[in-house]
Amino acid sequence: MVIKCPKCGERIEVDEEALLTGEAKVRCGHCYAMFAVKKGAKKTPATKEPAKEAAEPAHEIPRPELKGAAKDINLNIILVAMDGDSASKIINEILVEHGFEVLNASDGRTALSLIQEKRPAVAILDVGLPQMFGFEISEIIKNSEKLKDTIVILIASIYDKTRYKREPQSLFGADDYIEKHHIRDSLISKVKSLLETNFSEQPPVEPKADEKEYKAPILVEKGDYEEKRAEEKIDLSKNDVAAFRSDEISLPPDFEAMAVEQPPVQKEEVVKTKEKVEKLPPEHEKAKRFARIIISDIALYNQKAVENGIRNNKFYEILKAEIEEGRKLYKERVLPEILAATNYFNETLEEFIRNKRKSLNL
Amino acid sequence: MSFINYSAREINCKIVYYGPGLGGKTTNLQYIYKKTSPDAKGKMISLATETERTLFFDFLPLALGMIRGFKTRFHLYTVPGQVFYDASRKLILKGVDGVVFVADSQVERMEANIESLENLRTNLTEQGYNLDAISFCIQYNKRDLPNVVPVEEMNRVLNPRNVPWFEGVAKDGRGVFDTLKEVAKQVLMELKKAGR
Repeated sequence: MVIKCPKCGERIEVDEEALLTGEAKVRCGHCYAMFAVKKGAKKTPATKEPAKEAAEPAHEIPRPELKGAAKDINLNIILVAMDGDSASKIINEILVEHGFEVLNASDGRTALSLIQEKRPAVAILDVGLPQMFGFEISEIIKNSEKLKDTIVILIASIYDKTRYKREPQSLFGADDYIEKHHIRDSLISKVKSLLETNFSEQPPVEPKADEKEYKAPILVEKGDYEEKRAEEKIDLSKNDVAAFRSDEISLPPDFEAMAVEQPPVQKEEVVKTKEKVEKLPPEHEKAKRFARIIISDIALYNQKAVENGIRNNKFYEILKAEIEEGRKLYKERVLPEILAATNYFNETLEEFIRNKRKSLNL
Repeated sequence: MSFINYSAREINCKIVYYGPGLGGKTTNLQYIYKKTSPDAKGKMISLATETERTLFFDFLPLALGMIRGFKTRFHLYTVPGQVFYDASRKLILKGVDGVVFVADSQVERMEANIESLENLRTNLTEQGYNLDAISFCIQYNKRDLPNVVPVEEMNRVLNPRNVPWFEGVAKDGRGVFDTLKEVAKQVLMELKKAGR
């Protein structure tokens, strides 16, 4: 029989005799993914037919033995909760086209009750849902013993595709997020990869010497969750403005307390930061904060120029006028004794450049 | 200060939308402009660069019906949010009747919110106003983004006096008219008090 790899779509011939026990594990020769094949699984015709990737039914994702509360999950049902805009229509079309059964909700409360009642494998939630925000539902799901296996994908808006792009600092427990303008190009791949990662039983595979490119999928079990979050947090350094929130720049105590899910830091750094906070009088904190805001504004309004300048080592040259304007403003607003004793503006600028270089992998 | 034109039987009030750069002040005005009937609004003026940053102000005149035989006209202004444009902000605050503070809910803009609010207080004081006495409300904008600060936290930091506040998604209009109605109500109540 011929089956289709759920990961890359490659056709794989399977010896039916190997399925005598009812189930066998198969490795795709193309992408090296391993998955289970059950006797009686839907066969892909071996004869040549027009390749119709879009028509691949969702239930070809091998259904493993789900345990515990996950047992009730319906792997081919996806809940889509959007506030009735065109994005909702697009999501529905894509999912139905790929063989999923779609449940729809247009407000947060209905979405949550459908998740409890119908147990969809994936909940696609608009962040800004009426009655209950998408991220609130995500938090409830991920904190519930019964519902936590539901995959949550948040749909977020952005305000400017080029100028205002930022990585979220917290997904409120959600497994992933998609910005509305990326629905067409990334929805189905994210859904499938999360379904596979979360619901496929794949034993860890020892890579052989000739399988260097193979990467075993990360299984998101209870204990792995924090680890996955930690990886996301490290990615936050991509963010221009978040670059200012580096731990070497001490924040006012109030602001530190409310920062949500800051990137993990080394203990030594924490101690160092706290010492700095304790030592600095409020006027100094204020001066530092003001320097951060000035540079944050420069970065926010000149994102392309900033990136270009840092990539080509021409940051100070390209942004000369803005930096001078910022420095002038800083000098006008900061007390002379602080100006005489410190140079927070330059320090913050250098820190920003260092962080930005890191985030650009330079 | 509201301007009363007795011969034309008109009351003109000035509302200023204040807040950090790219926080949604202009978007608030644009939504109001879009959703208001043509006979109730004047021409919206925007002084912005090609990259959309507000250079000086946005201005939208809006008629809000009659009070005791007087036409009430609200003039809505925004200020440029960037720290650099303090001189413009001071100028625009002259003669203000009510202020809407549009805060950016994203965690990395909290410092900019705090700075902008402090700057508002300072600039009002310079003009002889007191932020604690003027008609004032807050909009926590961009609530549809995933990296937002919880409202309780925003209130703790930005709204210790617990003035009326609203959650907003200005680009979709959520919270925009609630915010405007609140500040307009406060301004009109002040006018009424002053008229007694």
